[in-house]
Amino acid sequence: MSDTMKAFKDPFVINNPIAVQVLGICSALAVTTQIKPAFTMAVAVTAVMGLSNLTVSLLRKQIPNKIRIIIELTIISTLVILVDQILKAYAYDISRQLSVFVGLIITNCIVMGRAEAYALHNPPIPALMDGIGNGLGYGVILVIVAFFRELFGVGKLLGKEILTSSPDAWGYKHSGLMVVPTGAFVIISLIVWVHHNYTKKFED
Amino acid sequence: MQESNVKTMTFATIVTIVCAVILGATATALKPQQELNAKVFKLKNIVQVFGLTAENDKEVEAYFSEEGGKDGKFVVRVIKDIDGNEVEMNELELKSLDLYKQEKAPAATRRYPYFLMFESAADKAADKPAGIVLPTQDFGLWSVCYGYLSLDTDAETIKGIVYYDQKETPGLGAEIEQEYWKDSFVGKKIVDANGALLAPKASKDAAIAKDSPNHYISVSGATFTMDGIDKGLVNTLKFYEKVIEHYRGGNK
Amino acid sequence: MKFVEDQIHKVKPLFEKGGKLEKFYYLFEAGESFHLVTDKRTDRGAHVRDSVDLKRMMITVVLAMVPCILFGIYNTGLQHYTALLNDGQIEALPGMVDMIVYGAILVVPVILTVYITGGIVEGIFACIRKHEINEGFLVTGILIAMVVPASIPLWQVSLATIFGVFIGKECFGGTGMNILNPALTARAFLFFNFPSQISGDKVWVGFDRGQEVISTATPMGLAAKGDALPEAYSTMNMFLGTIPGSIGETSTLACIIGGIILLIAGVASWRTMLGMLVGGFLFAWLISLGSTNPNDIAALGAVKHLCMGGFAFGLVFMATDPVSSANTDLGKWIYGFGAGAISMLFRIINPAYPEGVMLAILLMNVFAPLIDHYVVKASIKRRLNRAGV
Repeated sequence: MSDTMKAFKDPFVINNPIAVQVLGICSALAVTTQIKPAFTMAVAVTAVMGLSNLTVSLLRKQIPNKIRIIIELTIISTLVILVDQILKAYAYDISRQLSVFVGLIITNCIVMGRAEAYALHNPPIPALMDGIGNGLGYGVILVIVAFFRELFGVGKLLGKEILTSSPDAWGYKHSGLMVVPTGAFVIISLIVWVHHNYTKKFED
Repeated sequence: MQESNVKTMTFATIVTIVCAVILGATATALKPQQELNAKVFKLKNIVQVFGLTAENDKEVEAYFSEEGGKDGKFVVRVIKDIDGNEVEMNELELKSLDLYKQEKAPAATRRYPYFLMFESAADKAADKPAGIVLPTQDFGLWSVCYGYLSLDTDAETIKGIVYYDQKETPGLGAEIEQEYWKDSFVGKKIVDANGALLAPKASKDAAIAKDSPNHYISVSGATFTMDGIDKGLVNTLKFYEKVIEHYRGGNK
Repeated sequence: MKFVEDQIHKVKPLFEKGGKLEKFYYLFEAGESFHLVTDKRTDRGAHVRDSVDLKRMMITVVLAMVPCILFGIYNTGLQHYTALLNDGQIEALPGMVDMIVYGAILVVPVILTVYITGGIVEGIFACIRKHEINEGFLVTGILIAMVVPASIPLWQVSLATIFGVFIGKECFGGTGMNILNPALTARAFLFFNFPSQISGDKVWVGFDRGQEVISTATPMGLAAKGDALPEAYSTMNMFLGTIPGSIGETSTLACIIGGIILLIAGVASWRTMLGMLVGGFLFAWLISLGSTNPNDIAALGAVKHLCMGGFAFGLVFMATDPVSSANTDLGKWIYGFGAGAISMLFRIINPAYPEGVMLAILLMNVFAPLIDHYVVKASIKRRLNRAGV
């Protein structure tokens, strides 16, 4: 496997940012009540990560070591604010649902972590792939969590009604647990469990 | 590896300037679109609570224009002061308008905005609205709930209610976004048999909520949210008493 | 006693390896170890031996719950007929037998559902992990059944049981490894999953003539709203338990009887119980001092608060769970006190969740290992100081 492919696939499957490194949990709890905002968030994070990794990697020989963290942060913040502005202009409803969490991508440990750990020491193309891989690895979990939360929390998938809450006292009821962040915690921990059992064969 | 301070400073300055230029340019370029979105979002709720339909943002805006919406209906925003005189207000002030701050403000600067819907230009000229929308603001359990209450042409019957911004408990207080809850307001009266103003009240009893002239259905377990809405509606009716008086019985 | 021993020894060969009823050995063993001192001997080394093994301990807990179960069944019938009477559907309350029969019709299916679903989950994990089916579930199961309303949909009960056993216990490694009390985990699942049905201010008390589910406001729900409690919800009635609520938790008296059984048998810790009682009493009393509105939930006073809701049940059966509670003596005091105090804070100060006992005990469950850690550390430090090292 080439370095580029590995840089893309490794974080996506084996070293998943949420399931293994347990990073970016805050936004994973907050934006996963429905698939649509979760998907938008996934795309936003992937874009920010890819571009920030690419930029940092391009500048890696120039960035003075003393101020490298602040430079990385400046680049990431600029990209995040760009994404926020674009969402506000072209996807207003979703940006309202994501509210503060788009802005908080800046503080998402995955972005900063990859820039610092990978992009600073690797050429642009693998760095870009690493960013995209990490973003997608994060996004996939987000969408899976959102799938269950939207389906069981409000009985819908992408806004289409699938399960109906029965008015009958003994009938089917939507799950309140899935609507609150606690539900996301339970689902994420189950995903971590399954993922761990699956990746066990890669280890030892 | 030790870089010179000059290089470090230069690099930092360049990065800062580049980032600032990019951000400044995007912000300026996208600002009109963003402001339009924010405005349309508010207008959309007003259009919906009037019971009008709009396919897209353009149709929403059309209702508020001089020509009127697609079915020839107009929506007009009116801002009145405490004495019921129509006044002007600039966009910025209007945006940050908080009903409860208005209540505390000195009478001279107190402003109450509301919306009127007219079926035709003739009705508009005669000041005979087909509906009135009053903004309402309630203190729920976790958050301030912002919404609109719409009244029918007689200014006595409730046409609908919508809360467009709330952060209540999902499954309990947040049920105020559900259709069944909003529907329980439709057709209720805001006046009693003697003609005095009477705010809607939450009722646990489904039969009462259905048949009583001024009870809506209470969400079980969301007592705080319901109490907040009860109080908020009392206040709203109080704030807009003059407006309601003016249009009572279809503007005599 | 001799007779029992003889009978047990007589049937024993049937259950042993190669016997006719070999498959049911564990059932037999449960009966044997409950009645007799085990005659198994360790092969080597000296061991302190006692007849109290896990099985015996669990069965003692189930026995201690019998007053709660029986009263719960009677009360389910009583509440049902009271609701019908108040609604004008019947003229007068029927006799006690009718109430017990109606109560049993509602309660027994709930208990069966819990045991069947929970048993299946336990069985699956027993096969995966290759160990015996644990008796711990006997207690967990009956606890789950006692803390749900009588006419709860059975599918919700079984869903909650699966969640409680699976997430609350098996995920952490099975009996003895769990951080949270599985029965409370199941209850919390219901609480958050079906908020308008479970944590609303009303509780189901059965079906009316037209098979519609009827519900009655609980004293807790009324008090949380700031309404005055009606005559029927006097302190005495709350103590006896003739009030609407979940199946087994309404009667403080039955809980006290159960608590005495547990204390005599030495199964539950008196430190935890007393700590929780003191914590709850103290906080309910302190908060009542600051209350001005006589109908406010804070003004009810400490005695009423201890009799209300699930406090007594949680104190006797939930907080004392030896696995999820603290294990050091001082730790038990702190753990109990914390659970009692936080129950009252949740109940009175927090407006969203009127019943805080469940959440308070779960919260202290999470803190129990930390409490133990610091108690042990302090103890080591004290001894070192005493030794003058």
